[in-house]
Amino acid sequence: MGFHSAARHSRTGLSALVLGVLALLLMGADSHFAWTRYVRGSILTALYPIQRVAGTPFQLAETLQQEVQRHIRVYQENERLRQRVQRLRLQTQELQALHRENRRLRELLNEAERLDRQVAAAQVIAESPDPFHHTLTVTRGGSHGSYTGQPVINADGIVGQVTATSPLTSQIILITDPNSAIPVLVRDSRVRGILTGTGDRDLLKLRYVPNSSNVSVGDVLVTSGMGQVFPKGLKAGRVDQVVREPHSPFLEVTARPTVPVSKLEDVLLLEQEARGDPNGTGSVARNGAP
Amino acid sequence: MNWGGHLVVALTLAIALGLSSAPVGEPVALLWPDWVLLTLAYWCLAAPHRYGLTLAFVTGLLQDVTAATLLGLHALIYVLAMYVLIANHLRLRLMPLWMQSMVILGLAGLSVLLQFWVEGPATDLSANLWALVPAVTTALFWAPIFLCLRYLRLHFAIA
Repeated sequence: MGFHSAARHSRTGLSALVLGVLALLLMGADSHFAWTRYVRGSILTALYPIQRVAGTPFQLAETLQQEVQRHIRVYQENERLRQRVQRLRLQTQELQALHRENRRLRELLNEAERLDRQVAAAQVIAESPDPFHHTLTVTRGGSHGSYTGQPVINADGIVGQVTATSPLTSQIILITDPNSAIPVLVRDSRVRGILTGTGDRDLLKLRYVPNSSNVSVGDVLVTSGMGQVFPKGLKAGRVDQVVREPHSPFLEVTARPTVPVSKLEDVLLLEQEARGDPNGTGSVARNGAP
Repeated sequence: MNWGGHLVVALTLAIALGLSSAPVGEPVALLWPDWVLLTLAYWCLAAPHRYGLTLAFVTGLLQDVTAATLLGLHALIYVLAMYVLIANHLRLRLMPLWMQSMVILGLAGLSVLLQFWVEGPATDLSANLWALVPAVTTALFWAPIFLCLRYLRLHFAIA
């Protein structure tokens, strides 16, 4: 038994030695000669079916995994883009609002420049809920220099005038209020009249225009400057309808305000005195106001 | 001659070769055990007089080709490892599975180190401890492989 085992042992050792040396020689050959390439190639060809079969489940699993990952990625990206769209939509709305505000303010500024007057911009913060009293509250009050009777305009023309002030806000009566009356004239024919509100936000009445006067639809009404509240030449309305009653001394003229009074956001408060002249008519208006 | 037995052994080795060159992903590849070493080790322990160093040499060559390593490197590794196993196969057969696993761990570790030593400069396998992880997984897989192949051996009455 011992001899047998020893003999097998030595035989195994011998074959290990031979095969080991063979392997080393092969390694040497592989790193120095090109012919091992053909050995490698032919073995690889023989192994191809084995590798192919063994690799298939792994390739399938990998394809599946990639597909799942792609789905997850697409889903996440979709979610992210959706949120981005929401955010951008919000931004767009803000930008549009800013754009509109910018244009409005620019128009106001242009108007102020044209008038060559001291003006103060104010924002509308409240509106009377009473349908027959058209008043607004704006963000300038007595502490900013507002006073009762102060004319209020915007880029399109006359808005109204201040009727009451608090330190921080002012109340404005719109030209469409039934209690509002402004001396105007027809811009082209220079016919005078009094433009009064009706309580309808889109309707004004031009009173005390003689029956024989030349007034036609579309004529522009501008302030005459006679009430010493508004400066001369500001647009106030546009003639909408002229009814000539044969037996009445006056024409029945209706007009539309040039300012969309129900959509106001910013207004200009007009200082009564011209620039650089602090003792103008403004003090008169201030004192004369109720 | 037990041709059926040879066929079974060849098939298990073919599966092992296919597994070792299977395209597994990056994290699994770092843990991928040496299937060929495990399969060879089993057959050499079970039938050392029939499946010995020549089989190890040939299988090593095939492994060299599939793994694209230096031709003869795996042949050398497997011949040396199988020589150790065959020379001690009587002692090893008496060991419990976990101690056999320790021996496999040692052989697989030597195999990794030898591969490093030969191929290290050429393919820049930076020598860190992670490279020894496959040796550990190879040892861990010894018990299941042993049980599977023993079932096959008994079922097909090999050796």
